[in-house]
Amino acid sequence: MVKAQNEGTIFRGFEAILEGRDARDAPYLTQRICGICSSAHGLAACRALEDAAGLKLTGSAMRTRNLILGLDFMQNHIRQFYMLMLWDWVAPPPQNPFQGGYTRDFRLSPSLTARFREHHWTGVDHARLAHEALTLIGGKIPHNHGIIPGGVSLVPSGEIARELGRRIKKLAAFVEEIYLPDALRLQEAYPDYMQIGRGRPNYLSHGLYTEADNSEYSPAGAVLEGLAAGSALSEIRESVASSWYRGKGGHPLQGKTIPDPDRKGAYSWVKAPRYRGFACQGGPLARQVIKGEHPPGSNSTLERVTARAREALETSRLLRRWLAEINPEEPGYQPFKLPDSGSGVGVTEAMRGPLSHWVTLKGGCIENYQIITPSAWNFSPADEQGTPGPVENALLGTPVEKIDQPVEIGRVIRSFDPCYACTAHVLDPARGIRKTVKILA
Amino acid sequence: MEWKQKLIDRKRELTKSGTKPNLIWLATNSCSAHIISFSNTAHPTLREVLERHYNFLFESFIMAAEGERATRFWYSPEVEKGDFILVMEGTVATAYGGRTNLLGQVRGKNVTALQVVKRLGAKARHVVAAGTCAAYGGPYAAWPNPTGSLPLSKVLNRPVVNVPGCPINPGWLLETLEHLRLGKALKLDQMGRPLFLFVKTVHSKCERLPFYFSNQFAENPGDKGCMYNLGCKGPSTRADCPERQWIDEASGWPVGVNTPCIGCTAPEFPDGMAPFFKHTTDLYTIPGKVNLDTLTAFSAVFTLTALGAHLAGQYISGRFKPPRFSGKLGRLPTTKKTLKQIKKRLR
Repeated sequence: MVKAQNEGTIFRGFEAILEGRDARDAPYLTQRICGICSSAHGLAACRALEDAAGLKLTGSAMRTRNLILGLDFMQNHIRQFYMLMLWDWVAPPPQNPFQGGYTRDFRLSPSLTARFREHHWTGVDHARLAHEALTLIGGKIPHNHGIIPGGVSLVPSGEIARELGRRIKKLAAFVEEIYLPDALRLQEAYPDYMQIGRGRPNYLSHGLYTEADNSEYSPAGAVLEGLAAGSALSEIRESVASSWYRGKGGHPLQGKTIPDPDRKGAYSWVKAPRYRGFACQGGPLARQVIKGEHPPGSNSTLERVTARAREALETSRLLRRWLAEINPEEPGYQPFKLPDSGSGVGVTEAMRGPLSHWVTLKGGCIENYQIITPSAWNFSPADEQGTPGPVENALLGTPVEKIDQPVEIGRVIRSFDPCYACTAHVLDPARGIRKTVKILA
Repeated sequence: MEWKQKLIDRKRELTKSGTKPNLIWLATNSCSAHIISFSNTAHPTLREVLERHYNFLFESFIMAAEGERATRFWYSPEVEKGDFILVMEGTVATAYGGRTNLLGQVRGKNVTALQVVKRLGAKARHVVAAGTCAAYGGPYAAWPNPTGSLPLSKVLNRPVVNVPGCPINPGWLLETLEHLRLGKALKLDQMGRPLFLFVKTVHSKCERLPFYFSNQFAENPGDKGCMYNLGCKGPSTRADCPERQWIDEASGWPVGVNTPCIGCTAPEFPDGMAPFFKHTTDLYTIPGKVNLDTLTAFSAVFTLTALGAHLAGQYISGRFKPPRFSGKLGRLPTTKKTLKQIKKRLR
């Protein structure tokens, strides 16, 4: 592959929809951006408002938030592996809707294939189990009600805590006994994918899971060209050189989102965020690189997949600890007053990378709202300098054996866990040099 | 829990027999929450649904095909035959000729969601709109509707079964589909919703109704008590959340976790239900947002200006005279001097 262009094909104008609304509606409304990482959006929006109000949360509020986010992480990682990318590596069962895909380069033995097909359904059941646990404290899911500006609405105790604990235990067993071994089995069967799909060693993380002392369990930071660099939100810029938007881009607090589908040279509805001018990748692997658990130099297709499984295992252990640490006597919600005017930024790690919400308030309402999604980082188009986005970069040099069945491309792309994973199915790589991926804008 | 068991039994009964019809699930301008929520079904599980109940011909989230292998299906003879149920999630974007929502390429040409929906919608045996977006517009068609999003019923010229919800509860969609699969009559209300699901308001079955009647209202989210004062839209929203709860085997729902219902199944969601934490709805108009506060301010300013203008007009035209004593009113004699004067006059 000599050239790759990610084409984000959806624009929904969420930022324009938010303008002028009651600021307290932002957490519930922004969750509607994404059905699979809704709680991360809710959390980022709450943090943006709390940042504007200068509010500090109670300990049990922070832990309950970790529980909600952690359970959504479990759900996402399991669903991503078993529902969204498994049939790239394992021959699917002869049944709709798993028919009609590519038929080449499946390297698992028949007995192992049968086992993976069975695990696929176990995975679906456990993704549901994580969501079930989440509804106990979040009310419903996707788009939970539990995370609200000011804290959480319910601190689990008694019966709810027992029900939660039971499900977390099952999830932990599943990840340890089935999910992680399955990911490692793929590594064994496809050793060349420990090389294929490498991108530039640029990583960014906004920090994941708040600990008791207000530090992040997985720290915020950046690694640029393999070297550790601090994380400063003021260094983020958005470019629209290759995106169907008007204007010049800039810092997200001053950013505007005005569609212009006739812009010359543009090929995506996704903006191109850059950190100090670098196109950074996010996700489980990036978080582990920044934490120092993984060498920055290697970020191949299957390394990203196993990093996700490892993170699921770690999260399942953390969930148990947080549940034990929660003090049900401590209130989860603190009444607070939003300032009439001001600005705030809320950052968190979503499942697939760094997520930030930038809000400006005026008269108690939202004056301007900008969102940088993880998929904007990973699937960004080229910027003014022509620097390609991380996925575009990772695709360069990917060998495509048969042009009519380019399985390799889908494998590389889905290892990044596209936010709109489903639509990465609908792409057109037939001509080998151009590639259409559909992602959430 | 009795109700829950009844639901499960009902679903078992429904799913015992019947054929395996074809089903096409199309996601357009959507967040995929509905297929995710649908895959959270426990009675029956997704596996049972896919293996025994429906023949999913196309579902972009879980299908294995990609690229033109997937997209050319829309123009295949199977679609021509029209022997399928179409389930759609998400709105249909119409701004810029639908270019804000491309679904893929067919023979090297970009295909918009608008084209695919029109094509499949015309052929399908039944059309089901899953979620508030597909049914009524929902969040993506909220003011100012930057993508010109329309609900399914406004794009297709045919009856549509609307199963609203943001997202849908897996049970709502599954039970509706089972009715279609088994050929049972499906009564719809004026908004196209299945009557058996959306007949009661959330408020009427709410577990916190006793708090409402005994005036125990929550002051903040997180309090136990009735959520009415926090802008709970339960009284004007039709859904069976309090009974069915989320999701099959767990029991939680928004009011159960001490937050107000935001009315996500209502046709007017979210504009008619926002702000979520207040009862006075914001109206979005061309000059800007209108709500009770702005209306009060406007009427106060209007009244004062009108009054001022009226007085000024009276003064300028000379009709305005300051009130003064005209001498016609009788006055009580108060001092001896005035008494004398009166006596003098009388003489």
